[in-house]
Amino acid sequence: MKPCPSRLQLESAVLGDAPAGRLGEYDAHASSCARCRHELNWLRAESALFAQRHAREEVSRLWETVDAKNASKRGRGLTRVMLAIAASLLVAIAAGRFGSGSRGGPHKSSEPVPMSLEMMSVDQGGSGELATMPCYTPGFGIACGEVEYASR
Amino acid sequence: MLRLLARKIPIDSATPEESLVERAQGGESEAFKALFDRHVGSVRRFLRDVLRDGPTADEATQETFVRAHAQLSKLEQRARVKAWLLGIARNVAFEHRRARRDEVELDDSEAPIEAVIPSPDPERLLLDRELERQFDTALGALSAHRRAALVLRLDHGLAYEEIATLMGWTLPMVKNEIHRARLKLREAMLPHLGARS
Repeated sequence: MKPCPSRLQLESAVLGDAPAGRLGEYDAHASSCARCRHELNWLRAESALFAQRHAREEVSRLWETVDAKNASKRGRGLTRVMLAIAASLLVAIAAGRFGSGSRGGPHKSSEPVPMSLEMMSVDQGGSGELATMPCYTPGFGIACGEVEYASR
Repeated sequence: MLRLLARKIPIDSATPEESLVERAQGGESEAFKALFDRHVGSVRRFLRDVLRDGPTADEATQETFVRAHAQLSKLEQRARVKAWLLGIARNVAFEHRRARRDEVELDDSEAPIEAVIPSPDPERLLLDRELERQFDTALGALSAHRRAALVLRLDHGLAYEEIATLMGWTLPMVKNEIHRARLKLREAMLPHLGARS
């Protein structure tokens, strides 16, 4: 008579982990071995008890919530991407609008803008006289003080 | 290109698990649904066994699959989806248990289990509602960790090594815990199985 298999070997055979035919060998051995027969009986009983519970499960109803939560997460991810793109665009637009004074935007520097006298002269109704005008324009950084121009 | 071709192949019960995982990782929601259908029964049953409460198990099952979906890209061993899902479920379950601070953990580690237990009568094994209830009660009498290890082996068929990884135990500890749980379960079920002496 072959030596008794270990409990783990018997268990593997009953649970279907062992190679095909192994359970038959153990059954043959158990027919003349009370200890192994006893263990195989219990292993089969446990297996049956667990297996028979499976049929009672009805779990498909759980999918809807899982799908909704996953979709919500996907949506949040997409929203984050869209927001990031929108923020990047805003930054790019702002940089283009205010980032460079040479592109025609308001000059924010406190440095006076060099201007020629002709640029600042205003003809008063074709009289030939040049008006006096302040050379400071609030908000545009031109600060050269008041200048008075003589008639030509 | 291969992924695009794979998407054309319809999913059915014969679609290999690895293929489903790959397609789900590629963002195919139908493939993830197929993985859900294949494993939700196991996951829910495991969570019901550990948490001992149907509605909580439902909630934990949903949480498990939401986490699985979020972590899918990290799954490298695509053929081991079941063990991976049960690992997530195990974390969810014990987080739930920690949140329920009022629960008293059963400690059956010192229960007398060395008595010789007679064999069961196979003819009494046809499961009816009463026997199912007794079986559930017997499982519930085990400590949560020991119960988890037992059902991972006997109900879900995980290898001892997988259970050790999943539970964070050594292999000898897994074998010992499952052995003790099994003897305790047999002792509790004996009166209901009409055992022969």
